[in-house]
Amino acid sequence: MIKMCAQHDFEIIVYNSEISTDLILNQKFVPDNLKDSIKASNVLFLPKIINDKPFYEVETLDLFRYFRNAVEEGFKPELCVSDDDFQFRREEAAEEFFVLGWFLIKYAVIKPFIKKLKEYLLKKLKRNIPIELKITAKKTKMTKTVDLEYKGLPDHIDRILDKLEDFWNE
Amino acid sequence: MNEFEAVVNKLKDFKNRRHDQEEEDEISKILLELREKFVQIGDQEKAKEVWRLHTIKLIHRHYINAFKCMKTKKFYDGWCYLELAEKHLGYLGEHFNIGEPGDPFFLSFIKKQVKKFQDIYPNYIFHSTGINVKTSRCSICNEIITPRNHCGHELREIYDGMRCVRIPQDFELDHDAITRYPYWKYRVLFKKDEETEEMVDNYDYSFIDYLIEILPSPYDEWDYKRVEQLIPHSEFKHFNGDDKCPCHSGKKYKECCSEKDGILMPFIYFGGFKPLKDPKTIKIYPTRPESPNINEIKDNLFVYTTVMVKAELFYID
Repeated sequence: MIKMCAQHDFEIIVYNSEISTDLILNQKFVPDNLKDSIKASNVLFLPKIINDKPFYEVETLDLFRYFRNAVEEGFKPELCVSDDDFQFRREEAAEEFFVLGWFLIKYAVIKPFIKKLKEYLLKKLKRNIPIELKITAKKTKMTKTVDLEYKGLPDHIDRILDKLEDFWNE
Repeated sequence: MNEFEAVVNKLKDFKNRRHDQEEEDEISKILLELREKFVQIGDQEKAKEVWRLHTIKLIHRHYINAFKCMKTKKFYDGWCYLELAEKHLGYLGEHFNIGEPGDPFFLSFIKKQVKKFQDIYPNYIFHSTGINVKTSRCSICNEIITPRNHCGHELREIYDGMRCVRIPQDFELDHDAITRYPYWKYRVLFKKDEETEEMVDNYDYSFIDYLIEILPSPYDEWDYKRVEQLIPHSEFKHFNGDDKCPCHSGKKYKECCSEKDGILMPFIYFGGFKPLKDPKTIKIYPTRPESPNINEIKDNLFVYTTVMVKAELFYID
């Protein structure tokens, strides 16, 4: 199912997803010594796979650190690669959106995650430019995973939560 | 008056400054000393204020350099300086309000004018690259940053009066692309002369050339308006049906406007100068033809080359 909410300054696309932690743990690029940490994480930064290689976004280094510094707030962020294998791709063509990345989020921290992300965007990004991010979330073991793609200005990012609730309440 | 206030006043008096190298060096020296002094006593706020003044100075310098280059018909160099002014305005805007009441440093004005100059430049075609970065350094402490070993300096923040950026260390070029919308505007593609193999700038600078001739100073306001006007066919008697239509559609004249009431031509009005050579004149100037079709360039990629003159822009910001 695809739902779209298009307004002047943001757009959210919602659809069922097949992604899961188990699926990620089976990827070749995930090192064994990170598997426990990935299982325990509640904010998993997912890479973009290009030619079988994992790539992160330009902002990942700083965004990951931001969440690592917020462990007291209940965040357990993790990446799917070791530091040695980490690389990000920098595209130099001007994109319509500033891509933040793709995150697999556990239900318990979805609200604080969005709040924290908004805080980062407003305080640290220092640019009021349209952003693009994808969030994958799961409510219970019984429910399917849901993907949300947000494209728009940072101010409305918390509307993701409304969309999630709508989706789960159906 | 202390040195800090003296620099502020000097920067506010931009219209009467000499803007020569000697004056630039003098202000830079004072700012450098002030920055060192504030860093030494641990006053980060004041050091950030010094960064602000330094950035304001750079914006004016780049803007004036752009104007000088355009005046001497070094249009591409002018374009690069406009980009530098634009970038530094962006950096400043991350930390301070550029639209201060009264525009004391003329920053809102420059921002507006840079955009207008860029608008009337030819439709450049650019190349842009995608790079895969394995490691990068912090510009503040020079440490290699990895996800789990971060130096703590935040991207785009100001430390010791310097803006933090990332400098790619270990990286590889992934792809090169041709685009009309690049991240770095200096990466313009030019044609290569087939015989001499030298770069040929064959873009049409007629707008900017016309404007800059009659513009007395970079700090004079001007404006433009794009309009369309119906021109009678009698003006184009020398065109035959197989020629490209004068309306710049790219189609043949006989397949485009020849049967219409006239030819709808795009024009630009320039106006609003103070003072103008002839203040009553509002100039009208036909718009340029479109720059080369991007698909045609892809087919002839090897005849194009690029000038990488602004290597200092190669960082993650």
